Amino acid sequence: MPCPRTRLLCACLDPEWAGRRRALVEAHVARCPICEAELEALRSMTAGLRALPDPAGAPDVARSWRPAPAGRRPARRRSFTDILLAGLGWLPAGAAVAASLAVGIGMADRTWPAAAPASPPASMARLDVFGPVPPGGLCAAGDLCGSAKERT
Amino acid sequence: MSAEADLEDEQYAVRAGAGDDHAYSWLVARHQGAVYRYLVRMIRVPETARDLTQDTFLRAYQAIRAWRPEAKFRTWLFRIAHNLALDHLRRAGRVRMEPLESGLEIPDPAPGPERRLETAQRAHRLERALAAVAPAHREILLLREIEGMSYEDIARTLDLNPGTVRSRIARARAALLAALKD
Repeated sequence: MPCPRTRLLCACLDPEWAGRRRALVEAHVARCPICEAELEALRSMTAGLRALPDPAGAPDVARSWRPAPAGRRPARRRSFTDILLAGLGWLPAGAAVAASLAVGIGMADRTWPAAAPASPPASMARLDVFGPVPPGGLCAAGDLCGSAKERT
Repeated sequence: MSAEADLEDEQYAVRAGAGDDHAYSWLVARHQGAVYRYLVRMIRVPETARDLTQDTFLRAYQAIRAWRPEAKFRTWLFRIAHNLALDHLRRAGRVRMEPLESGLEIPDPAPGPERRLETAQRAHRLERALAAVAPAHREILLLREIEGMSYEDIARTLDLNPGTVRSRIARARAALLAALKD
């Protein structure tokens, strides 16, 4: 087997790699000092990654944790009983609205005593204020004023 | 993470889904460090990574009722974080990230000055190389090598088929090794 690429050497690093390929790579590495050194470098690198210290400055989310307002949490599916109980909570308000409507309709249907006689209709003469000649005034153009007087 | 830890996650996630906010807080406390270290290495800007960590847990909280035990909670959470990171990178139009020194601080965990210096230098080299590889390679290396996910979990997190995960991990390792040698 020719020297495997670095990628293939990873077959020797993880238990998830198994089977013929791994056996071939391991057999080659046992005979090849170059690949052995490369595999050792890979092992050292992965061990170094695992040993990396945690970065400083991690937030303490747990300490500052406040559950989100209820509105932000997805609503639980409501059962029929929940809906019924929620509906009963509105019962007094609904009863009050229904009562006020009933009273209003009852008052509208009731026959009330006759109202006081209406005042007589205003005389059309009062519309003279819109005529060309003020009331009691002299008319400069007789035919016009005559027709205006006739109209009133 | 062990199967026992996964089972514990599942129990708390079920309770959180039923409206138990304390159970959700417990999940946040357990996973916030892992989500942040993934995001900060993907985004390379600590402030943004902190915001995205918060967003991840907020989104998960809003969707916890939709979570089903068929999916591991951790995988599901990392999928949310991954999507947020990708959205951010797309919006920012950033193909390559800033070098490590621009914002990511690495604490010095080793004792003794020489050892500490060596460890810090090695960590810096690795972080620089991680920043230099393509985001698609970086994300898969972070999930595999740092978060210790199985190929199957990575496939679910990144929405890839297992064959693609295997070949991409191999390519990503080769790319990181090349970046380290540069």
